[in-house]
Amino acid sequence: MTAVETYKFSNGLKLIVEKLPKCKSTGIAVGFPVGGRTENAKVSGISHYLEHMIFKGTKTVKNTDAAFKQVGANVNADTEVDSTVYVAECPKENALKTLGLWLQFLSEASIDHEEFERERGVILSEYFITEDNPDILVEKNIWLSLFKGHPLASTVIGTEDTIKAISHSDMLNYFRFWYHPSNAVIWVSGDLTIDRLINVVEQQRDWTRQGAATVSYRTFKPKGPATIVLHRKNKLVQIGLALSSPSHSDQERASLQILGSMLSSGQSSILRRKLILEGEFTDRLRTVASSFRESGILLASFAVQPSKVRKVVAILSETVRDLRENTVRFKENFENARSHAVGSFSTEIDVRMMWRAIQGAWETLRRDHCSWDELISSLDSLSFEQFKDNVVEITQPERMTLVLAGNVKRGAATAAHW
Amino acid sequence: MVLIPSIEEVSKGVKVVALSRKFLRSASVALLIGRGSYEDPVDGCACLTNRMRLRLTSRLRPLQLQATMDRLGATVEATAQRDFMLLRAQVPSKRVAECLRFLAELFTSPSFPVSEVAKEKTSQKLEYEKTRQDPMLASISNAWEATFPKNPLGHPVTGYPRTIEKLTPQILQKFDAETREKAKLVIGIVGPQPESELIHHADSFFEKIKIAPRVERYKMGPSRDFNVLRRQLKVKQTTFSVGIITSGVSSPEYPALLLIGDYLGSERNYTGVLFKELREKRGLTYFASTSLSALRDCGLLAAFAGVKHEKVLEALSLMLKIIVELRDKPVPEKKVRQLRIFHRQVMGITLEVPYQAATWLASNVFRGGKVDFESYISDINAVTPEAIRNTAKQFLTSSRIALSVAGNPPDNKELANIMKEKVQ
Repeated sequence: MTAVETYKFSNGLKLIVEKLPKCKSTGIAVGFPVGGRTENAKVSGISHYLEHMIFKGTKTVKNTDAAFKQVGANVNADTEVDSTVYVAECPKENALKTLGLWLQFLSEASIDHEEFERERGVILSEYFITEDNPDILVEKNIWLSLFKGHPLASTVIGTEDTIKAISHSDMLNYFRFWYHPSNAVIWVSGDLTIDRLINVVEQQRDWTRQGAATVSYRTFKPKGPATIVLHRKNKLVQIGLALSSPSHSDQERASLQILGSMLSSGQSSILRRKLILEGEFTDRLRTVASSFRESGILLASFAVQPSKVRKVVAILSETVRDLRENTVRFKENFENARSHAVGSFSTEIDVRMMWRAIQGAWETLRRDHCSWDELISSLDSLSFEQFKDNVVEITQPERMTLVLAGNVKRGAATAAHW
Repeated sequence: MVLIPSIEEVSKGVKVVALSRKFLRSASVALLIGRGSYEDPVDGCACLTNRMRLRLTSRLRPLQLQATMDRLGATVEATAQRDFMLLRAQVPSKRVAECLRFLAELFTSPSFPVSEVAKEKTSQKLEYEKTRQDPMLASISNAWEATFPKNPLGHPVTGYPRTIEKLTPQILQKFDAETREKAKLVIGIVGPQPESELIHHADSFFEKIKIAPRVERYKMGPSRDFNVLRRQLKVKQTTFSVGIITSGVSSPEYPALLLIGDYLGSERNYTGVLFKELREKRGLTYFASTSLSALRDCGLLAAFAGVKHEKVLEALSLMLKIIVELRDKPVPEKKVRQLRIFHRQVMGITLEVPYQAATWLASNVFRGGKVDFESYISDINAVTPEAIRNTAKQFLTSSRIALSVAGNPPDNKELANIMKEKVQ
């Protein structure tokens, strides 16, 4: 069992400490519920661009890297469709200073005009990577298609046109509006007491100010099935299959995780068997299973030779139909998939402090609280009957999106019958 | 930070290096098999042999084997590098003994039926193509190829599609049999249990293996001044890598090389000079970084970046200028002091990640590096500005530097001229 302490400031700011006795390093994450979903289409990519600008410092501290280095902190940040999280891992003795630095940079960022223009080149370079890497290209397009018509439909990075169009004043306004402490979460994993961390926050006046910048959440109505073909002159075709889940209840989330293990991430998963062990279609499958406030996503992505696309698409649609119509046949796969999901979750938590803190912040932003023990217990206690009901819902045709990127032959995608 | 693992040579010469971390929920095991792609009889052999271990054994058929992993809740990877093959597992901590038993079976009882080998070959060819397609993966792979031409170290670990095709079950069987006779075996293990218990588990399952440790020295190919490798790809930006042949993990220059890597911009170093100059000051690129891959007696320091096609010459010229300056003028003492602190902190944090710690421990035991963290750090603390300059002088020579450019590369002559002009 891991002990977790939570403190809520009067303005809504949440501070959570995961106590890890005798741990030498500390993970710190400061997150906002800001990302692709809080942008309008004209400034798509602005949340991610802003994340870069935060590293450019304040009027008094120009070099954030040097400031963090002085306290031995290794820092990074991540922008998702529904969150932006700033993270650090540092020696235990410098944790309070490191948190203080993040709070300062996040409230006093100067977003200098000249730096802002220079950074545009860096953002464009990152955008080109997302276009050149088939796996990321497929994933970007899956998000747009799977959540079409909903704020979750975002590539996060934006497009070449929107990145070029975002103005300095757009950025300042966005920063001032959204980076409000009332909707933020601070997560700390390490050998620390919460009282000392509360003091650090209270010393930064800006972090105790009142007011709110609330994100509105609305029900997601799936509009699939959809098949997207992106023609590229690559030697391989990247295929991504994604499904959405209706909500983020503990039960549905557990079902999505176990379905992920059963369908593709487990070593004995159905797609691994059909596409790697029995067939000769691909070498590995990448699986993403994430739950957000209004929906969840399960994504499997892999590369195949162009000549095999049609056959693989047929296998994918047959597998999804089978899961929906004959779920009971998969009862014997259920326990192995559950063990795999629990094992993966345990090892995921044990990775770097930085990652542990980022996961804690995501969980709290998405679900208002986070307990690793509860999450493992929700996997352990899910019955096959509950799983079956959820799988039937998740595998409905309107919840499907298939994206093919590469040298896709004419008609290859027509084999999809959901 | 005190991090002193226990090292024990258990039955039949298997070395086990164990580290106990009480707060972990999981355990990580790195089973290092001391033979890699450098010793491939046909390119791709070590990679395919190890991949087959995760497909089936003589007892467990395909799918039975994978179901066993899922039942254990284990994530297991089989990879190959230039100097070793690696089976790496992460597992809920209460299953660590079963996991070791399972890894022992993967190592001792591989099976190579024709039909299964054919399937795995298809997978490996795909892995090769995917590496080529990914700009960042390709930049490191291309750096090896350009820096070690006509040398097995320069060949991709996966081999090439044409060589993978040549691999038969007989070749794999022979390679595996030789490996089990000759290769050194090291187990790195990190978990919440006491170290003695972790070592005991490792000893229980590996005691019957015959191991005759041996050390292969890498033979360098003929040097070619400023070798330039150009690869045309239909991509939105061009990636280039400067590769430098270095010495290995146990060499006296290794600590200085680590700090040179950090100074230029190793992974996770956002204050590296390349990052600052190419990205922060000029906005030329998203990534400008280095990677130091040190083997037992040689290594590769690669510096790479991805930029707009028309900016390659500008960015390359700047990168080379920064690198060569290391040779021509000393890094200030204050900067070196910061680098030492930075390295210690980054390594300390990295080694709190169980699977990274297990792999680091096992590979350092195998390559002759230090595994006692305090001693490792005292070597880093002893690096002076003069040591950095001397190391740079030793390695930044025309016969040790190569360039690879993938995307829409400028003309070969232009690239070679820049290399000559900046390095000589």
